Amino acid sequence: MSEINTLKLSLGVGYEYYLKNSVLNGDLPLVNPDSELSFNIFVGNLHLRLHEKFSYQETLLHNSIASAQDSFFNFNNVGVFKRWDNFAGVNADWDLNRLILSVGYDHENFDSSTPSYEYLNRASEWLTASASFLIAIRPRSALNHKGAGISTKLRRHSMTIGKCEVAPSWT
Amino acid sequence: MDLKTQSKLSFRAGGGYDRARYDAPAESSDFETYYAYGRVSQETRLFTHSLSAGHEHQLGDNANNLETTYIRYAITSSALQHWELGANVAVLFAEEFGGTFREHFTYPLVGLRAGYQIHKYWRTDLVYEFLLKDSDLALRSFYGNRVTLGLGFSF
Repeated sequence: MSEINTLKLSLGVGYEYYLKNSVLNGDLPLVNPDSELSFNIFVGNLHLRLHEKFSYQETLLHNSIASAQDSFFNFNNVGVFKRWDNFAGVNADWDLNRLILSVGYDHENFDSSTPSYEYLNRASEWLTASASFLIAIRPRSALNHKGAGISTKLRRHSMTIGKCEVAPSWT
Repeated sequence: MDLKTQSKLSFRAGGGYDRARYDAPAESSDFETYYAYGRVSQETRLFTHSLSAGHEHQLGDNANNLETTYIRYAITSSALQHWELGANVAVLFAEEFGGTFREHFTYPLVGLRAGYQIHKYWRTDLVYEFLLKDSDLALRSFYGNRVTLGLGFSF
């Protein structure tokens, strides 16, 4: 697109084969939750990010290749839970040097293809807002003990404080 | 709160107060408690690793609430060209409650992963995971060994 305005696609596809319980093997490949199409737009110090995140999963685990996931659907006597999940929305970051204000909106559609779990089908609206303030701390920054011949190593620390995020949703 | 030092150590911590009220409350659905999490991670020349722990509430699958307390360690390394290797260990203590259903369960999980960049845009991942669920209710404990082969495309 351009040097800073970029279109990105990340698509992860997999297949899970059950060795002991082959009756659970599916017919379709799975689409990882990390799959996403995103469009980054920079206008001055405003960063807009339009994104479409999608997945198709069948196991009870919340799959994610990129990061360790350890939660699962706590169903009983069920091996397969076919489901589509789709997030579409926009995030905006306004960079005011040390202060970064962010807002976001997402629309989620969760759709179960397993009839007994259709009660989990839902559409959700996600609103997020956050503010980050950056503080650089230089402890003992100019401390040199010349007499002892010791030069204290200058260390820079950066700290982000006051970062809060709220994510109300309704279905 | 986030804190990052020049030595590539980073700390993240947060917490708050959780309160749930249901408009048609089933037995013991409402609760008031805290949530908290913490994470410390370090980047080195050869690997990145992190240790995290937390206590939080989510919506349950069988009952209104799922309360979890967890501790997790993860390590990844890109020291080998084209490869990304990783491992993770976690233990979670959970209680699902709210309504007629109540279950306490513990589940340790161990994962190993190896990712290989085949081409500029293509990547493949091989993942092994072992999960053990130990429940206080009959017929709700299980274990699983899982191997996943994934193919990724990104540009």
